[in-house]
Amino acid sequence: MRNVKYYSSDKLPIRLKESSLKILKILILIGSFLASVHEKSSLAAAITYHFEKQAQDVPEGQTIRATPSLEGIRGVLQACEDQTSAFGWQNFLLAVSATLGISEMKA
Amino acid sequence: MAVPRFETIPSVIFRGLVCMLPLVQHFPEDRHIYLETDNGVCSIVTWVHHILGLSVLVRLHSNGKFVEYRFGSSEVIIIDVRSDELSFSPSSEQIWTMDSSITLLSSSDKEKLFKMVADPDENKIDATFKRPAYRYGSDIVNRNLPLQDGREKVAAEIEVIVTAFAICISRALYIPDLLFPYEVSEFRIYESASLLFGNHKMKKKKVDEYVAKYSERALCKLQAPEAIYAIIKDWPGALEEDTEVWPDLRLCARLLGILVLTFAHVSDLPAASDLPLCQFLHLLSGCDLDNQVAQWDGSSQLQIKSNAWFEIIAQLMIGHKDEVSLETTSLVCATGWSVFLSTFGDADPSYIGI
Repeated sequence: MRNVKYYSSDKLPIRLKESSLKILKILILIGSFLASVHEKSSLAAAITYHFEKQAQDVPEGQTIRATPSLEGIRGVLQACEDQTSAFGWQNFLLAVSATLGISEMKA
Repeated sequence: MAVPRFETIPSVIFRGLVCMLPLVQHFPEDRHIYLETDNGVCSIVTWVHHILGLSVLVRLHSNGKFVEYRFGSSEVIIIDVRSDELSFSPSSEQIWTMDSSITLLSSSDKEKLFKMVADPDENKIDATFKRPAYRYGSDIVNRNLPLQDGREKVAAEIEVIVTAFAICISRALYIPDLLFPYEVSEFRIYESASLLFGNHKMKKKKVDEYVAKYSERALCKLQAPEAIYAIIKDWPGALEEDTEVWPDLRLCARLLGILVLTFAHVSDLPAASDLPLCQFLHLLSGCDLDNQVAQWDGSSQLQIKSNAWFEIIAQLMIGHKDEVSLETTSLVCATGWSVFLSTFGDADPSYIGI
């Protein structure tokens, strides 16, 4: 993933443990990919819906985990997309569709 | 226009993957995920296999048989794609209405641990479906052509027609209160067309022929030119009223013509070749210039507003209609690109800089 531009660890505004940093990088990668294929607002809505569902399943008496707002999630996706738009995710999709022998042409 | 059905992940699958992927990553020997879906298979494979490094088995079902494709060995995720476009037949209607579902299985005894199906009130995730500006036009034309013999020739002909449309429209443009006539140089239009079609050998003579033929005529009422008619008349259903091919192509050529004209105003074309544009070209059909071209008789003048070109590019960059009002906007940033109304010291307010 050479072409994906992300902050190197020393440039990050906050200090993070090596393991959290790794997770953060993967999160940016996935965010970048999902945002390149999906519309950000509806994707953020789906993530919020997921959190809501999880909150519903919390047993009574237990504290519900704080979750980011819809706008917050959308902002993160926007940032991921803006910073990594030069990366050609399209080529991955094309490679997969070529392997599967499916195309998006009109039948 | 074709729907990007292999790219958009259904919401339930998305939620399911978010929940279940960590479990599979932690216990790849003990856990399997089984997916049934019609949509988003390419995106799911990219996400799960290329980014997360998990192995995937895809089974494409067609007419009761299936073909297996493996991404990596010892698969932990199995995807069944049942209603493939190629396998559609009237008798398999019940398969078409199948809902997507995602199941977490225990590897040892194949016991179902957890299954998720779509909630009725769940909103679907929309696609952005962006492509770089380079060869954007060819992609759109290809997508609008059925898989029949001679489609490459038709596509090549459409490229020429689009360029001719752009030139015809450019000759009728005017800005009120401007003392001198509004001019877009043909050279710029050719450059813009060669960027959008990735074709640097556009035949000028052929374009000129079309320009001569189409000038002073209403672009949205034209009949199919002979070169195209000769090919599409052999395609099944191409000339029937409901499935006629030409009106779609004509609309597509008109919108692309407007886009070619828009890109002719971009000061640094090679730099704009990576600009991501939404592939839903019909977003342009509500813009002011297209509304005029749709009712244009070919000879009257077309008045352009100061933000005409900005509106068109911004609309395709955003990819959604309802998000912002472009009339009161002068700067749009998306995916690391910005488009703005460059009015600073400019004699002509309709010129935009990117």
